[in-house]
Amino acid sequence: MDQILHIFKKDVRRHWPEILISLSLLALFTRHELHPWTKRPDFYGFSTYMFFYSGRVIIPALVIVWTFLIVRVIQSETLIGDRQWWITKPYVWWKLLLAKLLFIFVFISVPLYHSQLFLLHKAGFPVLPYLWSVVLLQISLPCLIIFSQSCLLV
Amino acid sequence: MTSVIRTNALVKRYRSLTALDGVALEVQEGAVYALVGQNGAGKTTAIKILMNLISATSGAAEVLGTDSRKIRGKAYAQIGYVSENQEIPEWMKVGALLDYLRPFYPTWDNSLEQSLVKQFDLPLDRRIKALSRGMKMKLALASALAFHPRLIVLDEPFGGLDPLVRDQLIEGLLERAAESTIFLSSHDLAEIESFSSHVGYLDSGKLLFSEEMSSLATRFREVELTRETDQPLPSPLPDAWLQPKTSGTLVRFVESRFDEQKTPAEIQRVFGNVKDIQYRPLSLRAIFLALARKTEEV
Repeated sequence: MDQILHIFKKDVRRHWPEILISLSLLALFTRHELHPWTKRPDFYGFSTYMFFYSGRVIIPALVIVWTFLIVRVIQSETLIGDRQWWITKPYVWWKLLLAKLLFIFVFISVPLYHSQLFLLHKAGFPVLPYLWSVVLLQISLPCLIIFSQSCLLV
Repeated sequence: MTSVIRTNALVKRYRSLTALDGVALEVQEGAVYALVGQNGAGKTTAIKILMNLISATSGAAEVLGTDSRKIRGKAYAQIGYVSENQEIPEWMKVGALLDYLRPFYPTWDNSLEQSLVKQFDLPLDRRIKALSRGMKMKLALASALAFHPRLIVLDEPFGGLDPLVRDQLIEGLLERAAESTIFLSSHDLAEIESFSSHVGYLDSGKLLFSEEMSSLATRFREVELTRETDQPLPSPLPDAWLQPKTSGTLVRFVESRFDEQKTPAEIQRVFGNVKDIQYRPLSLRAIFLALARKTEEV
């Protein structure tokens, strides 16, 4: 556990600007989701005004930032090549993997989870019955991003 | 004595290129073993196989009694590896890197770390990115020595460094030599000669020799003899005589199998009576050059 936390802390120190951007975008996304313009009839149709000012641009931006963050945190200990400094250090591979998953969990899954629960609550839905569904969404989202990146890397 | 590194018929091929061709070497515990050879001789490839960074095409390699293919994770807690090609995390500060590494090694010695930082004059609060190449090498070496590794592996550690930094690195290494086995590859033959106990010469992937430095120094001699008459060199000369040159009655060559009794007899057999013979010891650099030129001629 010590090594997992140690690697995790190092990643936080390195990637704090990206973490900050990701959390800010998520906060912005949550704020925009609460705005009444999501209920306007033209919200789901395309208009430049709506795209930039309604917050719909935030969703693709958020996905890009998350993807970037995951790629960056994985690339801190790059798997491909033989010049990487860390591969001749006593890392335990499963601890390294868990440290990366912990990072994704803490800085992507947990904030998104809270954002969604908050939105459910604000929309007047009971939070408790949807807890598990939201958890599943948290698991599937990083899995999808990691899977697509792995396919690209291979 | 225990073998710390042992390879047997090690071969590495990259498509049509053979980088290592049946290398068999053994490094005893406590040795300072220098692997020398020209660019592209296969030194880095050999080290990468030993460190399990690449796999061999065939043959076997053992490091600290473990098959090199199984060297990973905790096994590196006993090996200090420094390479000029390694990508150190440049975004970190010097002190932060040492802080980060410390918990990975159960044998990390804080007081040794501090003394190495002082000895190498490392600026703890500077980003690694801003360090010179020499400073980076010193940092890599400090981080590889601070945990009392059983084996120190250095791949071209002195390349492109100024003499002062080289001296500091060697001094730092020598202070650890008593407790570790050191295996290094280098072009810097003059430096290696000053502190290596064993040397291996790799040429186009083949290990031409691997022996104690003292026996190598005894085996190689520059021979200069004066014949009674000016004649062309007899042919063929013994294989062990490298770079034969003649100028008038003077003949000069490098004897690679010098023996106090046999060599004069061999000279007598080849040249007949000679006026004067002188045997001079050779530096490692001169031996290396003689061997390199011989292989170039072939």
